[in-house]
Amino acid sequence: MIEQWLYPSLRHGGVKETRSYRISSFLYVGFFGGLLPVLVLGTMNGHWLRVSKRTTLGMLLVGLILLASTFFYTWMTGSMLDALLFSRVTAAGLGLGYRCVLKKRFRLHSVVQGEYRPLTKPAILLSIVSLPLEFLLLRTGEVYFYGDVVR
Amino acid sequence: MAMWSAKEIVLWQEAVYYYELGKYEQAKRKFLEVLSHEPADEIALYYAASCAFYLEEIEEAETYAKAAVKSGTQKEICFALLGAICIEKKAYVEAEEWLLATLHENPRNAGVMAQYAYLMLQTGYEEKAKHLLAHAQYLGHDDETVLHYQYFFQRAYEQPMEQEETIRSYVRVAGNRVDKLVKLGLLALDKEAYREARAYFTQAYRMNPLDEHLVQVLERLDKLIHPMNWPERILLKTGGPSVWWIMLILCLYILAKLHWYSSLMAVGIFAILVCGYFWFSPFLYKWTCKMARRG
Repeated sequence: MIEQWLYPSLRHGGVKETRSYRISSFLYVGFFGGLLPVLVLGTMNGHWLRVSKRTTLGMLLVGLILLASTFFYTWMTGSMLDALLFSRVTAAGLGLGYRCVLKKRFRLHSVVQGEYRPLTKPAILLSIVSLPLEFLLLRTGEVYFYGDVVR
Repeated sequence: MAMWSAKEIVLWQEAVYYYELGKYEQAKRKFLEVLSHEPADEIALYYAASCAFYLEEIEEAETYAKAAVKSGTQKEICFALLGAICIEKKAYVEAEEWLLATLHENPRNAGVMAQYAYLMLQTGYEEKAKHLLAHAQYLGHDDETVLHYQYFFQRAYEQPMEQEETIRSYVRVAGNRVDKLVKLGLLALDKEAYREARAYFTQAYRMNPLDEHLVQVLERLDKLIHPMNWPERILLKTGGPSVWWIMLILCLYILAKLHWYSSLMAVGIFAILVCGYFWFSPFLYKWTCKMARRG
């Protein structure tokens, strides 16, 4: 029976080491960078840790719903500042969610590989990229709110 | 093997004695002396390679091990050592070939089977790794190497009960006392019993004062169990800083929404004070340690 496992896997299949950021830092990325950086980094980290596709898609869906909810929040309240704070709190929550979801696979990675990728640079870059997008989303919500009020 | 003089026999005995004591520097010197008399001695080459491996002189270890393979009949142990060397070098493809060659020589080598299982886990073949480990356990459930890797599998998959049982078995059979103590320390760390962990690591350090990794672990533990760092301990036991950050943010957000500004101020000031303490305490800790050393 065991003979079926005693064949070289790495020569043909390649080395498939897991990679990961320090997932506890996602909360800070969320709070300071917003929803989009957490969503991108969390999805990438999930893929690296080989989390099931269902979980990755589920988290992606939750992230998109939260993104939409910030838009609706501005639409309902008309306050961009409030919506920004709401967005950052939900992003921090999403970061925490990713931490919970990836915890098991992260543990495996920590014990077996014990190395982490630096998070600062990609987090700052993504935060800069997502800033105008977030602004656009909130501004659109605000415009809709005032459009509704005028009507 | 040529006939040995009494001097060479003593040299051999000394070398093996040092090796078994774990004094690899001295052992290597003695084995190299043996090799100066008998350059093609496969066992001496193997031991020299093994000493160099433990001393983290990987290139040298590989040279001796390959020479041992060329000149000897002890292929199984040399292949296994070359596998371990390649794992250390992160040359995983080569490592797999050496380990498979070892298992081809002796398919009932439980230790190498377990090592191969761990290599598969490292390189992302989890299903295969689990099957191989199960077979290694079947071949030698009381084998020291099997228990060693079994422990790391259980640690990776977070099975604390099984981990404890494995450690108990490992402590019964293992020869290396430092390794036993390190494993007990790791188990205590997993249970967040920092003082217990410190006691085990201290004992391990006393037996092997040259291990820099142990020194680092002890320094970290000393810092963690220092009375000044009790807030950090509470923080770690309650989910880490991120949980507290999100709780604080939510709390501030809710208070702001309720327009309870005095409470918001109080919570904010408290949070700033706590953060200040966390930022300031490492410097204070260093200063206290410095003063204690001077005293």
